[in-house]
Amino acid sequence: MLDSFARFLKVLNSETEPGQISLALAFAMIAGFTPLLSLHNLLIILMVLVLRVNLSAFIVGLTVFTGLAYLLDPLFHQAGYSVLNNESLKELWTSMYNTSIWRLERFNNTIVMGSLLLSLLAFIPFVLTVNYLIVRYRTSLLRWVEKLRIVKLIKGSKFYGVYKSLSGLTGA
Amino acid sequence: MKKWIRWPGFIVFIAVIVLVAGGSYLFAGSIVKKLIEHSGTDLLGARVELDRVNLSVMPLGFELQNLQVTNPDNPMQNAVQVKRIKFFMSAMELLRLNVVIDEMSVDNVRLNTRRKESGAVLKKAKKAVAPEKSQGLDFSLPKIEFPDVKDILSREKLRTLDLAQEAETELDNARDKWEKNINALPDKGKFQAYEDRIKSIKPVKTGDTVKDIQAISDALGELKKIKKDIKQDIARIKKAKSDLSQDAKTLRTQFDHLAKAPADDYAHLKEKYSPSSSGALNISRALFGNTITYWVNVAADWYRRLSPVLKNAIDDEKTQTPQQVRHKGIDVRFAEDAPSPNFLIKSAHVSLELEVGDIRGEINNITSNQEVLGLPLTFSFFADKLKNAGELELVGTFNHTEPGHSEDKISFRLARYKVENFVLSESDTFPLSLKQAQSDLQAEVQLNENELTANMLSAVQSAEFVTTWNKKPGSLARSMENALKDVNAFEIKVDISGSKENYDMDVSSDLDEIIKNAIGQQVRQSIDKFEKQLEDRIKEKTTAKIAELESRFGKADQLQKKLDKREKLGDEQLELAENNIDALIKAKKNKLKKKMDNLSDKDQKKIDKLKKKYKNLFK
Repeated sequence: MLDSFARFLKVLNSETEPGQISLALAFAMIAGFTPLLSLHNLLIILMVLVLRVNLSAFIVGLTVFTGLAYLLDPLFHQAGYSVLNNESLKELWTSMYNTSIWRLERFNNTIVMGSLLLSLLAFIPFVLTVNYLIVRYRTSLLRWVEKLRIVKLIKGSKFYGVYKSLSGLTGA
Repeated sequence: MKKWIRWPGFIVFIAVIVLVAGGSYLFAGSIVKKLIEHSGTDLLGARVELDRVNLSVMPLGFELQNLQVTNPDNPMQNAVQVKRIKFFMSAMELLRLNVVIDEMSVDNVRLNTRRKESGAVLKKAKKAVAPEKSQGLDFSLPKIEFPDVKDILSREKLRTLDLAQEAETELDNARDKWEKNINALPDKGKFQAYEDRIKSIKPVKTGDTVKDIQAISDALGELKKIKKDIKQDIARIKKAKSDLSQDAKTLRTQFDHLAKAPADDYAHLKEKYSPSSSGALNISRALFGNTITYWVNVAADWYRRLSPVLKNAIDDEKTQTPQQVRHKGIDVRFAEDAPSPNFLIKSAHVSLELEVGDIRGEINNITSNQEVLGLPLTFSFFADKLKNAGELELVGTFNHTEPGHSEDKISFRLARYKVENFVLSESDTFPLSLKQAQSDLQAEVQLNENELTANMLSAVQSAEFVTTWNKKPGSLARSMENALKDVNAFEIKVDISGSKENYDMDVSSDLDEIIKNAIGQQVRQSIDKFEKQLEDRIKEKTTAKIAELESRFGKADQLQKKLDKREKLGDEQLELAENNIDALIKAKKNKLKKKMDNLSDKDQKKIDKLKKKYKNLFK
């Protein structure tokens, strides 16, 4: 995990395309918020592997969002419950319920529906926001951060050793 | 475009999928095996084991080998051991997360097999409720020991004594009341005073006819006033007599009840404490009750074990609350084009290898949700080559298709079941066994919701009863033994009604009548003796009191006589007054006649005129 986090920091501080990082984190958000063994997560894995998104960012993001999901479960349940019991959508849900692939997806579960819906809604705003934050971080915050006493202390720590070794390996 | 796509990633993805699918195929058997073992063990609280699970892909199915389910009450024994369970599943339904098994075969089912090692688990998650064991084959001879009569009478309140107390109070009240009433009535003195007054009224003779007539008229007036007073007094006495008679009548009725009360007390206590000869001799319940109760409990226990299978899953979901959703959520259901329950075994063929022989059967529509399926669970088992019996047939339906209503029916038939050395009673007072017999058994059980009705008929033939005495039997036991020696055939009927938890069981048999005839004489004598004692003691306790009260009640007659005497005195005085009045009227008439005879015509006219004027005076 320490390696992944170090890799993530390295990527963050490198010249890697911000979109690759933000997209990886957005995919991680879907996979982390929703139950891992869901059918749609197979598609997420496929996209993470095929699209050139940052894998370290995805792994770190998956860990963080899975932890967050435990806290947000009641919210997901409420959202899923409301949507699934919405009368105007009942016909759509009934039609999907009678289709095997959707039943396998377990769309009728309140947690699956709530978490998937909220993470999909947050997907694009999340990508744009993270993109913006990465750019801002690299242009102004990075230099200021490196001057901080706490950062200097970290640079003397084991973690920084790992980080440096990775940098050395990759030549970054 | 190339900047955003990395095709090797697709290869990696495919490789991962293939790896997962291959791994699933390879390890599916082990996974299912562990799943069944863990969930079974958790559910039963005793170890559930499988030797092997094989998966077949086309068609999709499993084969479970040597399933062993430990008996939670006896860890060194398997409750059930099945050599092979094989079934195929609908892949399409599995995609909908429904486990639908079209056909299942369950081969070589054996019960109560020995285990090589203990199947106990440290933590019992859920302990199945074991059936109540038979309380031993104990047996008591018909109860002909009676409670002590003295104890009964010291414990029981006699109605006779209560009535006597009431009667005594009434009698005392009546006595006080009548003593007061009689004292207020005219007595001998008063009547004597009347007599004196009557006798003292005598008109004074002056020689003047007119004055004498006037004196007689005055005397008559006074006498008539006394007569009126006497009449009033007599009326008071008569009224008092009538009232007294009414009170006496009421008391008499009370005393009549009191006189009958000892007989009523006797009847009540006899009913309560004296065992009737028929009630004491329900020999069939005493002999077969425990065995029947044991098997009823076994059946109830199996029903309890099967209940979770019949329990409606939809009902469970309806009762779920949002608090239960943490990390799991709720599966919201929608209308299905072709509804299917989450779990269904359409048909299971079962073969049982029991000690008594092989039994084959079929169970249809095993599901957790009959409401969705719309079909009841049905089963039928048959055997015709049993060791100690002819044919066995077990047919049943568990219908839980309608919400809020269930109807379960089981019909059982066992022909020519051979009984050998079947111990009916281990009691020292009457150790009885059925050395041999052959029985045809039929039973029907119906459970509507919680309302249970069941009846069973066992026709026993070629019966031979034996007794193995450890001590010298009593005369009653000997009589029963002799009676049973002659019994070759008999029937046992069992009727059960009530609820699953609380039912009444009625066991009857023609053995009851046989035993009753054999020992009825002895029991009757004892009962007669007890009843005579009871009757005598009740009489002893009540007779004296009743006699005392009767005696006191007899004194009411004296009051009546007293009143009669006073009425007589009144009548005498009335007669005296009337006689005197008559005499005075006569004397007055004579005086007037004499005067009239001596009057001139002129005077006669004056008299006529006066008569008219004072006509009232001459009446």
